[in-house]
Amino acid sequence: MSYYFYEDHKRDYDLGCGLVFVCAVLLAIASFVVPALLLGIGVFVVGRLVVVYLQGLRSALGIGKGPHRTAVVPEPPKQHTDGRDPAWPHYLYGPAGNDLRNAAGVIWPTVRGRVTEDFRWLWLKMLKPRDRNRIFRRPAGIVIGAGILLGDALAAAAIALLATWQITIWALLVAVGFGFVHVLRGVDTVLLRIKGIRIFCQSCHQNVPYPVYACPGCARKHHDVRPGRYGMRYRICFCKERMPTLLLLGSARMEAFCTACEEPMATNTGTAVDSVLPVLGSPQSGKTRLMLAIVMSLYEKTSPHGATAQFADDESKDAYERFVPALRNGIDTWKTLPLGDRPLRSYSVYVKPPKGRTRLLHVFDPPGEVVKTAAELQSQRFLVQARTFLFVLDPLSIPALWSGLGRSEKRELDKYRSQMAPSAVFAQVLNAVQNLGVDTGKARLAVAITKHDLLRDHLPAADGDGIRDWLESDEVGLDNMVRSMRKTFAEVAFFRTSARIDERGSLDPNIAALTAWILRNEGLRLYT
Amino acid sequence: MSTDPYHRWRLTLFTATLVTTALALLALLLSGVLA
Repeated sequence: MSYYFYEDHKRDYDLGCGLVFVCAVLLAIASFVVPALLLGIGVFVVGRLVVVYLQGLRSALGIGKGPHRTAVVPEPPKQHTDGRDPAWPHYLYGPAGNDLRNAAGVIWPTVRGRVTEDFRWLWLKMLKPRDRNRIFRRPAGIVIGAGILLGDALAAAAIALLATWQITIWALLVAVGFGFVHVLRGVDTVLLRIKGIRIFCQSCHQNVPYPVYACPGCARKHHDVRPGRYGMRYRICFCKERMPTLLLLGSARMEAFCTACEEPMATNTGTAVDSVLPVLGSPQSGKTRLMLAIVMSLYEKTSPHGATAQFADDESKDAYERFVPALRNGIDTWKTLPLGDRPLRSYSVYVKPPKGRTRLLHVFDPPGEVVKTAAELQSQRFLVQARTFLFVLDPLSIPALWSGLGRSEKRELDKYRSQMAPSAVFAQVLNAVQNLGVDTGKARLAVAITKHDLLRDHLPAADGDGIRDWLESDEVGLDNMVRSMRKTFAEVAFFRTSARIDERGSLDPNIAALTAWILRNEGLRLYT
Repeated sequence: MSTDPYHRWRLTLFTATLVTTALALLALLLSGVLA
């Protein structure tokens, strides 16, 4: 009896110990294994979804090996249309926003697909099967499912954080970009102001904010290359050629056109201060020959003042090369023809003094007929830009001098004579210049008595004041005109010139003196 | 140059996201370890 009693108690005891052991194991699983499993699955799911996010982003931005799902970038217009240039917009001005939207479109379905796939696997492999292992599989499935849920929640937070961070980076870049654009434009404008540089069109005589530039690769015209929508330091043309956006950054190297009239501008426009020199006088007074002689004295480095010149555009160079042989051979130059409604284009040269900065000199040679009517003279808008005027006076047109010549001299010189009296021409010029609003009190006037070689015996040998005295003398009778000149202009100088080249191929030295006076008054530092 | 006119910018944006995220994680880890 006692033996059986002992055996029963021992079995109960063993059973109790076993139950305690099972409970302890279950408790251990519940306390350590399940949380560890949950955490492990959660971390795995987070890591995998973050990788999915980054892969989606990489694919949406077209980085690394394909397949890529980049946003379609709309092609820019092939030519300037509706205020749009043929250039690719800067990344921060549109395409970056498109990329972010595209990335969201690529990443969201991929992440959602991966999450759905996880739960489908959980349902099909762990929870749904009704086999004999379901007693173990279902609790394990519940634990794994909880881990996946935890991972998804954490991944959603991590991805939201990443996406927000990415948008913040983009917004920061955009803000910095906008700031940089304005700083660049500001610096360029300030530098141009400090240097006193303006963008002057020698065709339509207007100052423009910035030139139109042709792409060095495909010659497409870009109407406003300055930093902005299409680029900061450079823009990319339709043809993928890079174009600098500012004069500061080298845009002057490109071919420039006027914004207003679309005519070609001077090469390297915007790199030098420009000066406008109108050469005014009656028809046949020798304006064109004098202008050519001035340019020749600079271009062919024959003058003692040390300044040299380079043509600023092909038109000026072509005109010079076409007509200088006439000057050399002593034959008549062409007559400047009225241009109808077309504005007059200047002959433009870069003048480099021995010391100091190069200057862009625009010499305007309007046809003499222009001075006949005040209205036509006032339509010459380049006069507004000028601070130095060159008045060309044909001595043959001075009535007193002409009447004093002999009959044979008159017959010989008549073909060279300008028909308008100098005082009438000057009155017309002065009237037009003042009506255009030019402050003549701050302007300078050079008076060049031309054709000195034809009237050597009738003109005074002295220069400067000697010529002024001669003009004011009773013999010539232009005292009223000279008085008006001296009263109106801040500075007046008189020169006796000849545009003829002597046997040695040298120009009249007075041309160099006249050129030096003009350039010195425009701020150039010369030797003499 | 690449046929994609925005390749460099896209690479910059992606690298900036990666690098700054890595740095933020590292900072988080270090602050946890130091605390």
